[in-house]
Amino acid sequence: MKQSWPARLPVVLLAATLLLYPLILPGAFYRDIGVTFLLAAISASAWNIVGGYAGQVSVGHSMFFGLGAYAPLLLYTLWGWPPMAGIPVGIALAVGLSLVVGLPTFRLTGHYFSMATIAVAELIRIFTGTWNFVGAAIGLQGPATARAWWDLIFRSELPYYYLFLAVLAILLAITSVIERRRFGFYLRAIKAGERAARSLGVPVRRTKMKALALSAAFTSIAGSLYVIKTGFIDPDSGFGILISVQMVIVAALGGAGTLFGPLLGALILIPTFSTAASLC
Amino acid sequence: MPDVAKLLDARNVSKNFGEFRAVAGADLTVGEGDIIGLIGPNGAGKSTFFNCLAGETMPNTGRIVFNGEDVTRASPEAHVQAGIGRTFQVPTTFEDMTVIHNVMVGAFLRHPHRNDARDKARQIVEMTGLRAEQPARSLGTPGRKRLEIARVLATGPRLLLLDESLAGLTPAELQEAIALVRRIHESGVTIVIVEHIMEVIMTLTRHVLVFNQGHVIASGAPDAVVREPAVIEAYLGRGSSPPARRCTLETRTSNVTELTVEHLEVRYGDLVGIADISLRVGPGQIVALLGSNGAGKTTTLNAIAGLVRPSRGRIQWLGEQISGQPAHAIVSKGLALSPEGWRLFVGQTVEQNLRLGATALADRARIGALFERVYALFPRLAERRRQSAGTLSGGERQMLALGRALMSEPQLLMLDEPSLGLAPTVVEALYETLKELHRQGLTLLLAEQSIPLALGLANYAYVLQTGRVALEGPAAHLERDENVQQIYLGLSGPVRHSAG
Repeated sequence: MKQSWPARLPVVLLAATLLLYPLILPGAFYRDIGVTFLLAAISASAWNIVGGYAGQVSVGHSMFFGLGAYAPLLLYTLWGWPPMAGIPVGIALAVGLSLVVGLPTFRLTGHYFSMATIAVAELIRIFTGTWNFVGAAIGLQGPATARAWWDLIFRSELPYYYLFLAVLAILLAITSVIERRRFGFYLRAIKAGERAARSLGVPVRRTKMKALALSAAFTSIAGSLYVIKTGFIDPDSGFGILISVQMVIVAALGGAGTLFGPLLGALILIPTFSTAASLC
Repeated sequence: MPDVAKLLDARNVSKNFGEFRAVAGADLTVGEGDIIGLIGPNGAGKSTFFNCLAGETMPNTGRIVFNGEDVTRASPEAHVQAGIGRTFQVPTTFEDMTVIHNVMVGAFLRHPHRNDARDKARQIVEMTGLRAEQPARSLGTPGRKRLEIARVLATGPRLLLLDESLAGLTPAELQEAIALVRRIHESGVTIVIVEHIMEVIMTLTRHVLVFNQGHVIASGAPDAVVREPAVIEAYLGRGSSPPARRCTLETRTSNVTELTVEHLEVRYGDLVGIADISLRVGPGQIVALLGSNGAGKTTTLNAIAGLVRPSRGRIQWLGEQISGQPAHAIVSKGLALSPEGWRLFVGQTVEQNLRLGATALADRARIGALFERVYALFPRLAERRRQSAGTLSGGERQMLALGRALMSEPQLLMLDEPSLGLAPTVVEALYETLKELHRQGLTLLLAEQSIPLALGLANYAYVLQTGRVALEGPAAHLERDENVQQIYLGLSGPVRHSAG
């Protein structure tokens, strides 16, 4: 359904604002907030697919974030590969994990499902902290200086900003397409009433698994982007529960199950966080 | 005569929940184009049977063949794919979505592309008279029921199972709903409909099956079936055996009333629970509320007990207005309820359940005496005082529910369907206990589906029908009144008069 021009205007304005933001508000402080905001928006939007639209409130999404964060640095540490190469590896691992985790946990409902996801993420975090291969409690580091452009180490925040913005745009575009197609309707039906959805022929289990896999893939990308920018990861910054919780809060604050909800939530929360942190 | 291939052939379907046999060897054959009714008293197993047919519950025995395909163990989604659609007793519309989106979810089954699904959905929304862009949450109950039917229609079913989809509607809404079902049938959909509203069964269906205790006890044309003795007995209770001879209870007739209910109306959202109930109970009387499923007996008792709030009308107890007061306050004023299905605290022991019944008791010193009284009435409970309530048999549970109600030392005891689900000997013993309680000075108000039982005990009775009092009078008169039976079986329209 084509939207009329007036309806498109807010989105166009939003896009323009985001594009021009680093030029409107230059300076490291503002750029840093911008990058943090985008990362939060990406994570929350990724979570939104399974948590917002389908109503399956996972509080363990850090398990996917962490995989996406560890993969690039692991490849670098082992074989000197550019961290960027770890992005598809992270996605594959995250999707694989989502299948393994989804099958048993989706049998649970409501709070029990959420609790199970917390448990799994915590187990992974604890395990990672004892596994020397991935740096145990010390973690992993990325390249200190750029060997070439593909190490993606930039001195200014600007390239990161536009890279993250591009990823966010792609994610939102994909979500928007899903929203309008059968898959999106089925997600919302599952949230609104699983029993009724089933009675209408919605393949509930399959749909939930697909949603989780897609959500996991993009959460993993968020993790990879994070580590490409910061160049360091350890069990807490990769698999910590706060990461999961933040995703849920940001999405819920702005409106879980809506296209721009997570972005709105990030818009409210991140500048507040950063400003508060800088005051201490 | 050519053998018409059966669309649905279900044989010997059984479903047990632990020891409880919900469905016990039920058969159902439906030919293409039929419209069949499924009736039966509370707890007969109709919904569980439906759940088996729809694939939501897997039967323990039996075979269900639909359109030549064995679907006995297939998932609900596979059932819908094959062409079996069902609605739910309680509407389960997608509240956050609009009407058209609700229907589209159904339409997507056979039309994976959005635009096709939307066109199909639009067609159906028009046929059912709903407004496409209306949010589902703003619909009233009749609208929701209509939406649920529309939504499942969009899945293109060949067989539609309607589970009490027409309950709780006003007369005008009911006519519209009946017309809708007829239109659907005429468009080529085979229908099996579970209903308690006899008018629906009589006007819509050509063939009716009567369920009782998990299996089919009678089948045939609607007006023939409801006159069969087995059916009458199932619905009305042990009519064939002579009622326990009414003991000469002193009917303390007096003009003093303890409890007065005037023009009570209770709504559940838009659903009319009771429309207009008026009754009076005098001190020391035994008053019975009769009526079939959905007549409003439970709602009336719950309203008096303060568990639901009336939207209109007054309830007076000992001269005081109690309508609108919280339930715990009403208990402390001397009214206690033994609810339908007992509602015991199954995780707690017998003794703990009884003690909880005394929560509202002002004078805690009386507890010991009250315990003794209950244990004297029910020695079985005394034996099992430390047993978990969940391990009690049906009869024992009813005793416990009764005992628990007695622990608040009430003046008026209300009982909601005490005989439900109990074996005849247990029921006899229970009613003896009720007589004993009455001798001890208790006023009783009980809702019963079994007419002979209730009239064998009560002094006065009210017969409820679709939320109103259709008939009232001294029990002895009603026992001889043919109208009572007619009202139960929906053979007469709403009647309002006192017998004698």
